[in-house]
Amino acid sequence: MNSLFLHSYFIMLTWFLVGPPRPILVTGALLLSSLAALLVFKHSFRARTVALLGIFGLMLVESIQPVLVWLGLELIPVHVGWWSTFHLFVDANLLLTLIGTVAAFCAAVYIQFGRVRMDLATAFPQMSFVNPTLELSESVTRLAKVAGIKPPEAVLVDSGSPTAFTVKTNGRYAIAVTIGLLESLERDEVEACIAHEIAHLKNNDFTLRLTATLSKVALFARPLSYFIEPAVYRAREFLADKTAVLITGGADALVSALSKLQECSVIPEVIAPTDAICVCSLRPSKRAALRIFDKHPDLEKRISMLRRMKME
Amino acid sequence: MKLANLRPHQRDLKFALGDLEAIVLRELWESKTPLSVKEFHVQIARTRPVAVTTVATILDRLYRKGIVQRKLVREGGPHYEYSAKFTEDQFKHEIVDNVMGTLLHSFNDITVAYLADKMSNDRKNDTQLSKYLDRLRPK
Repeated sequence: MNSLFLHSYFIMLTWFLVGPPRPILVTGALLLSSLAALLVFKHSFRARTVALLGIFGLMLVESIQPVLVWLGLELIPVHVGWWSTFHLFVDANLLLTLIGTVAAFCAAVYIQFGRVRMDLATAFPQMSFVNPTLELSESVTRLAKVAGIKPPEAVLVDSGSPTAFTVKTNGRYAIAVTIGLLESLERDEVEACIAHEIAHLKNNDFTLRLTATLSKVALFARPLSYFIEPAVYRAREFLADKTAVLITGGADALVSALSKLQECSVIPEVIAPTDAICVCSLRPSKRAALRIFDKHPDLEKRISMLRRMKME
Repeated sequence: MKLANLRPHQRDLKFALGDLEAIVLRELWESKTPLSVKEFHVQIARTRPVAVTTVATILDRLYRKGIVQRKLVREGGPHYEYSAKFTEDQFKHEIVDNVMGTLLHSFNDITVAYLADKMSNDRKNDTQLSKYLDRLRPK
């Protein structure tokens, strides 16, 4: 193999990972920091989220660097190369990022004026809701008070598939539990699932997930973003589990709830809308290699993390 | 009733249902009273290891297919009580109706010719024919 071949191979590889050719410093920094976010911050999921979102920020600034330089504002102090400084309209990366940013803005507007402003029944016509039991509303309110957040609405969904999820409608959050969950889990296990959802609200996961997704849309032309977005989601799931344990004061119930949900050997009907936060993934990828794109971590990994917490 | 994913190489109920679905439906026919998911789980777990979440999901799936009916009961924590919608014979009749309907729709003339041929062949054997006719008569 001659060195010319190797060189072009390297360029193709970096193009695939971080986009069009750019100074080696920037490429290296992006790759190293994303690896570091996953490897170094193994146990602090907050730090991991900050690092991953930081990479998104770096990628965004770096993508619109030519515009910034043109405005006399070189945020990343490296020479950006002739293809981006002087040929503004030829730089595919810049152009694609600008298109992506417009798309992300449109998505944000669409979300802001969509379901978020409707009432529950209008927002989810395919679901039927029944009056929640007093017990369910009470445990939602109690756990929200323990977590120190404004109590969300408790909703009971008329469905036999065991799952729990949170949605935002009418400007407020609702925690939905299916009858299938109530009838197949014990009371403390149901509470643990609710605590997991409350933990998502306490950790502001709706905002963080939206930030990650909008960044991914803005940076749609950079393959790295398709790895970072699900990584943010997974970090938030782990963090929600940790917070849920703090809220309920014990990991046992959550561990047994998750293992019961994991034992379910058939795929439940997906009733939760795509923009809801579910307690666990209803359709995990079968192949381990594809799990890096899953937005929920393996239930096994979550259970083993909770068991480790219990030991400490 | 919605029947999808027919499995021509499987026999009996498994022709139209998944393995677990068939077991759950049999259990439902055997029981005289409506059953909750937990009661089902106790019954089925005697013969095979299966999670309660799996039972709940299977029953929900059968309900969505329109094969079983359920009632929401609020006493003692909200839960469903499942009961059969069809007897075993009615259900099997539905399957045959479903399959024959599809055949008649897709290959109308050939199917009719085949059935006529089959019937005339069977007429030579009177006992066989009367057995068929007995089954075809509505109950």
